[in-house]
Amino acid sequence: MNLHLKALITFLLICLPFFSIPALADNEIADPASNQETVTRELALQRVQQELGNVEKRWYGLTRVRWSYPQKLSAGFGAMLVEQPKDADCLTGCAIRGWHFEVEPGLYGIQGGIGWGSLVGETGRTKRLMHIVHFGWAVRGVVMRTWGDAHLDPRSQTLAGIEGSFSITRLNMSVGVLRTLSSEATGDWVISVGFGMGF
Amino acid sequence: MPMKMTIILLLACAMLNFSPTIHALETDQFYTWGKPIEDSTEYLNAWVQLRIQSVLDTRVADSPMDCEAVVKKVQASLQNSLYHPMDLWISSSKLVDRIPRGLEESREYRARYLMTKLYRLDTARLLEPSATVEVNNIRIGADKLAHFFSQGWWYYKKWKKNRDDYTQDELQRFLVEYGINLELGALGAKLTGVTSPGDLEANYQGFLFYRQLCHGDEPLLYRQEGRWQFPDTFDFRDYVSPGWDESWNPNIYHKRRWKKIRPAMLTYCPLLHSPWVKQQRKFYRELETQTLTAQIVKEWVADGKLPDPQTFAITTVCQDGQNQN
Repeated sequence: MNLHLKALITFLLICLPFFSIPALADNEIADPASNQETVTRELALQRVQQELGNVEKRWYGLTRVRWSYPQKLSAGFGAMLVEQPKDADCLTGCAIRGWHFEVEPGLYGIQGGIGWGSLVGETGRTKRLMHIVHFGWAVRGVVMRTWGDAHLDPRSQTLAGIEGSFSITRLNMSVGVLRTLSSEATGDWVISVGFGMGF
Repeated sequence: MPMKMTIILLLACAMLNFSPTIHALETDQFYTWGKPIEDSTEYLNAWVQLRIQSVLDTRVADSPMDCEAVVKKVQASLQNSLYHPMDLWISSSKLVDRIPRGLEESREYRARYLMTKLYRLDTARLLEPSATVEVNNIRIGADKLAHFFSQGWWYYKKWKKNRDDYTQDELQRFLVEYGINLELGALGAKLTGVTSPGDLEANYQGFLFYRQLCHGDEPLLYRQEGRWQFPDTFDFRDYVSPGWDESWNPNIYHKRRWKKIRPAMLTYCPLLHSPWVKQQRKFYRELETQTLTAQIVKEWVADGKLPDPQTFAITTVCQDGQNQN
C-alpha cells in the first residue's frame, strides 16, 4: 500500500473520534425545546417525589357531638395519629387515616374508644383540629360505663365492644355492639346507636 | 344476633373503604376568569407517574401478572372513597397552583361560586367544591381528573365486557351513552341537579387512557427485565381539551337549581367581554374539535332526551339578561 495512503488511514483512525465528538454534541443539542421539556419533567418529578416522600407524624384533634343510646347526649374528644407529607396542610381539605382514640362523656355514661379510621376533612384556622368532616369512617374498640337514668339494668354497669362510625357532610352515624362486664346485668348484649355531627 | 351485627358493621366499613369514587363535586371556572393560575401540567403528570410506578414496584413487583391484572392494581391505587386521591393531593399540595388556594380564598370562593345561592343543605352545595387548575392553558375543575380515572375505568370495564358484541363505532356510542345515563343518574342530575358534558369528555378520555395501558400497537405498560414499567411520557396534554372547562362547555341544570344558579352566573356577565376572557375563548375556539361525546350529546338534545346545554351557556344567559333589562 502506498505510504501516503497508509499515513492517511492512520491519521483518520486516530483523529476521527475527535472529529465525531462535536458531531455527537451537535446531535444532543439539536432539539433544545425537547431537552428543556425533559429537564422540566424531571424537576417536576423530583419536586412531587420530595413533597410526597418527606413525611412526618402528626396528631389531629377529633370531635363529635351526638345523641345516642344509652348515653343520650354526649360530646367526644380525641385525636388521630397520621403520617403526612410535611408540606401538606389540611386548612381547606385533606385525607388522613390512622389509629385514633376518643373519650366521650355523656349524660348517662362515658365511652372510651381506640380504633382505626379514615377521613376527609378540614381544620380551617385551627390547623390541627378536624372540625369539618366531609367523609369518614372508623372502627373502634370501646369501653362504656353507664350511670344515672340509662335504660339498662343495672343502670350503672360497664360494657365493652366494637363500634362502627360513618360520617358524611359533617353528619355522623354510629352503631355499636357491646357486651356487659357486670355479673348482675339482666342482658348480655347492648346495641348502641348514635346520630350527630363530627367523627 | 350481636355477632351478625358485628359482621355486618365490619363489612359495611370495609365496603365504604373500597367503594367506587363518586364525583358529584361541583366546580366553577367562571370564578377564575382573569385570575392568574400557573400551569400545573408537569406536577400532575409527575403525580400520576409516581403513583402508577409505585404500584408497579411494590404491589406488582416480580409477580407473573398479566397486563389486565396489573391495570386492576393500578386502578385500585387511583381510587379512594368519596373523594379522589388526586383531588385531595391537589387541595393540600404546595406545588399545584389553583383557585381557590388557602383559607381566605376558599371562604371567598364558597361565598361567591355558582352554587352559593343554593340552599345550605342542597347536596350540590354540601359537597366540598373542586378547585380549578390549569393544564396546557386549559382551566379545569380538579373533579375532572377524578372523572378521568374513575368513570374512565367504568367505561373501560364496559368496553372489555362488550367489545365482542359490537362494532367499534357502536361500542364507542354505547360507552358515551352509558356515561350520559350516569350523569343523568346518581353521579349527576339525581344527586346535585347538574349534568355535565365536561364530565363526559373527561370520562371518555379516561377510558382511552385505560385502554392504552394494555392495548394498541404500543401499550403504555411494558415489561423490562421482568418488571412492569410505566413510561415517563404520560402527559395530560394528550387528553385534556377545552371541553373539560365548564365555562366553555356548559352544564345542564335541573330547573329548581337553575333558578338559584342563574343569578350567580349573571354576576360573571361583565367579565365576558374582558380582554382576558375574549383571548381565552378565542384560544379554546382554535383548539376545539368535535368530539364523539359532544356529537352524541347533540343527538340526544335533538331527540329531546336531554335539555340543550346551550340554554345554560354564559353567552345565552348574558344575552337574555341584557334583553330583560
